[in-house]
Amino acid sequence: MDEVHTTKVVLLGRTGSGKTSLIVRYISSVFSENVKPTIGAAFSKKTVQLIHGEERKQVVLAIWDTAGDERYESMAPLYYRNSSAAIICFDLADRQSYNKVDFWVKELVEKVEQNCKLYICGTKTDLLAEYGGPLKRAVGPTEVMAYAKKLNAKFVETSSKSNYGIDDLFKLVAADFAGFTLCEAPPIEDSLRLQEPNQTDVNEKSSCCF
Amino acid sequence: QRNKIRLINEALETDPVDIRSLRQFALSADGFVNNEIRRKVWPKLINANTWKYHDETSTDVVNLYKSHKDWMQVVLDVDRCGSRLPPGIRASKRRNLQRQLLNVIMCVISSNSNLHYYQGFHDVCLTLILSVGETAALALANKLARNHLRDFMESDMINTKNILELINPIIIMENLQLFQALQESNVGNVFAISWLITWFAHDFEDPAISYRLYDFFLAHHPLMPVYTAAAMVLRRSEEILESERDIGFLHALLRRLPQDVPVEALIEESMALCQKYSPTQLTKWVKTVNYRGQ
Repeated sequence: MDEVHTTKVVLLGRTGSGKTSLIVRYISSVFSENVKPTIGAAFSKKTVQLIHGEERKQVVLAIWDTAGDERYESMAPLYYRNSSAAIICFDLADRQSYNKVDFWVKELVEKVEQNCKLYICGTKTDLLAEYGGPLKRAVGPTEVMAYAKKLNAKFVETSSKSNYGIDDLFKLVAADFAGFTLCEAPPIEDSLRLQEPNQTDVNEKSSCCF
Repeated sequence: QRNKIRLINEALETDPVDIRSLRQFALSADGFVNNEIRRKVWPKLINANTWKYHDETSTDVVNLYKSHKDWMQVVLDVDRCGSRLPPGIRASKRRNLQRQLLNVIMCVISSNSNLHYYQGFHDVCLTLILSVGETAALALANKLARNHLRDFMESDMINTKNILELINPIIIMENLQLFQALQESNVGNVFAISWLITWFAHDFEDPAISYRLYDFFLAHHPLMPVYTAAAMVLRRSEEILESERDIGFLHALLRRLPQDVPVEALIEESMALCQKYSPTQLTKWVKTVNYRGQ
């Protein structure tokens, strides 16, 4: 029997930063341009299988999606309390969205007692010129990486539309929680691109881990 | 139905309008029957006078809107309302509805500087626009924002949370075992927040259900959505009692409304609860409430 562990993961970030789309893509493998704003909070769950040599673990991710509307900020503690991981999202093409990241980081550092790992997630890569989209990056990747490194956070980039980096992000969260290290794990500086768009699954790339 | 339409029209033509009869019609099957009648009846129910609104083509108005602190949030929510528009709608029609929605919301919040926009107010405004058209929707939205939805438009969430609390005493009185199960799971009542602040419009996919509920809510006490929320939880008691007492699981279960709910029965149940436990009684039970509605 595999060991089964459950862990609470919370998504935070400015309104419209793509939190709900990220989860919908991860859980249901679909993308819609018309995702309704999240009122209050939403919950979903998914099991990740981890294999490391002889050792096997199952991690159940209990994922809380929160409202980005600032009015709901006072409710956020309900969802980040007891979380082992917080994924703070920002729209890569929106500076204001990035500016909100620091607000959440400070809130978590100040108020969360347990060890909560931080993941800073730049969303909507499909909109960026370098991926063929119409928009420019609002913040340089080195700035985000430096910021993440200072916090001992991990920085990843995703696109819910083109399904880029999303499974990897949650596998990373599960592996960190289970104390598994990705072999050939990229250092933070390189973790920017866990997976190139349209490439094969990370399972095959780092088969000894997952 | 034809008979009902005739009776509704008669009540409308009485001088003054026979509100008491209209309130009764909101309770019987199909409510105000169709959107053409709703356009006439709804404003009467809450005394929403047709309201002169801003000319959104004027530069001054555009600047006024754009300088509003909630402008960006409203634009974003209007952009994302696609899933609530009729399926297969033409792009030009869609743009037109979104323009109307933006204008109705901005007109209300920029004319009432003490009110704060919340995500979900756009669901209310869109439901009104889709059912009774832009002009009546604006008058209704303005009146609702100042009265029925006033507590949700504070700068903070304190009153919203207090109103959510009102669901609890109803469940305690009706089904203590169910309440204990909910308590055990720590699920709280955030799952019901969109029900109350959008009058369920955010949650039901079929707009006909929302129109029917709006018939009911506009005709009765501003706290009626609280009773409907309680009725909704109570009618799912078996499902809840059988499920695991897990906060996430229950939150997700409760938040996902049964889309095939028999709406007439739900309305009857809500009304019965309201008669059993009056709004005054409820607010007395939950002492912290500082309710400012009509």
